[in-house]
Amino acid sequence: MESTEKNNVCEERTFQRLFKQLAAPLRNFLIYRGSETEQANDIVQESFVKLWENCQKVVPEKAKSYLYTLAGNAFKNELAHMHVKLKYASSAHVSSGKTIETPEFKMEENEFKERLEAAIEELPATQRDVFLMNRIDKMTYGEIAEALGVSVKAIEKRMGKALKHLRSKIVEFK
Amino acid sequence: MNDELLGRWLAGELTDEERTSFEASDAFKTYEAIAQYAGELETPAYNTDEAYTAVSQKLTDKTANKGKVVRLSFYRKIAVAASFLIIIGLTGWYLLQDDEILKPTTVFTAQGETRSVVLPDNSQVELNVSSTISYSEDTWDEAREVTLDGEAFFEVTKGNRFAVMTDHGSIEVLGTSFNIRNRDAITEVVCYSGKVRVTDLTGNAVILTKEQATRITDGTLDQQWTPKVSEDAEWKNGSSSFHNVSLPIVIEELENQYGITIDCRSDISQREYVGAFPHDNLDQALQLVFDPMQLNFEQLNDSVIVIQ
Repeated sequence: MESTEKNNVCEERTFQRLFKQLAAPLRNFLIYRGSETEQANDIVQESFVKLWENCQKVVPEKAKSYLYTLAGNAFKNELAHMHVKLKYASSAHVSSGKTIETPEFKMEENEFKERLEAAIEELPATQRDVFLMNRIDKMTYGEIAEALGVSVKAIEKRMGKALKHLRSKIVEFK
Repeated sequence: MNDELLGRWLAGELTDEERTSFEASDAFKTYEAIAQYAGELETPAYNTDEAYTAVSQKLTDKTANKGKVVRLSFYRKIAVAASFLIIIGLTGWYLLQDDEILKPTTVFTAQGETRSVVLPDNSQVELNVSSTISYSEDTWDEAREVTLDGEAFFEVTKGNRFAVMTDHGSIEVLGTSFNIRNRDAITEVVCYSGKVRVTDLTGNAVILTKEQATRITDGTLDQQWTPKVSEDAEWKNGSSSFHNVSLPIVIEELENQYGITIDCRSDISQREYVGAFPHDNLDQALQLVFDPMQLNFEQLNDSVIVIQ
């Protein structure tokens, strides 16, 4: 029991550490699920307020899955498409002139990027969130499984499904 | 290539042999480009420090409003004492879960797969599709406790307290049979024989006897009804039935049972479904779910169904 005394969510330092660690990826998760940016920011705030109010009941190790459950339930429209446009990190508006070639297609880098984005927006929410949590937030499958309360095997499957979906959309129009 | 293998490739967890044969395929370069470019995407900026200040401010305001001394009535005192005991109980359980020495045994099923599990006391668990249970063999003699994510039917050997933990509450019994469906925001319990006590996250409890059912939504007990039950859970006889269940949850169950993907193009998040579908006839199942909801669907290929 002593370890929880020191490391209680009701301790401001622990609460703050959890916030700095989890708030940004949690906000992104909501965007992947189809929430608008402002709404996602609000849900993150409300979720942390609830965590604080229930800090006696939630040990720090369970805070992550608790927050994702609360936030996921607060934004219920699981079949929504994505509202927020994602951006490419480098050379966002510069046309590189680069060509991407694989045995399955050949196209301009910019065209490929556009298609990929459109395909990501059309993914079912439960594949899109897992895929982008891994690609953008660099969460491992283990971390995603812990947050969503499902097995690592389930995450592997959803990632595979997402990749297949994206490939079929990108190759289809060629 | 199956989904799981493809997923493991991206995590860099294929064996050399698996990787070599994958890298020889035409699709490999396409997947590589997708993985790389998706990794360069960014979401709108988020200022964590500012957001934290805002949360702190909100918490301070709330505390200030609650600052007045409130005299507790007799009943409130009892309620406070009762919820305190439950908190201790939960904390104890979490501690047990997090102790690394006690590695729990975990059994899970994939989409379309069901499985029987025999617990150390010979209690039987039938796991429905896409479900996980875990329990600790080391501490089984002291506490018969399993955690469940998904749906399972339990036949419990008579004895001490037997408890099932879900993320929305706990279910306790003394030797009986019951079914738990724990999906997304809900946990449903149907009692088939004996007595079951269901406790939600706020500490409210209800006792179910034969042919009674209850549901916890977002951690709070909110509905009770009396289903017709046979000796076994209905999913074990090849069908799933739903009592005022949110349509997205029903659709997810369809996806899990048949291993398909359903793409819904209209907003159905607020709609509720009453009915049942079989596990061995996809066409019939789709009709039974979508016809009463007046939704049209179209089967594009083996795995994708679009609703409009």
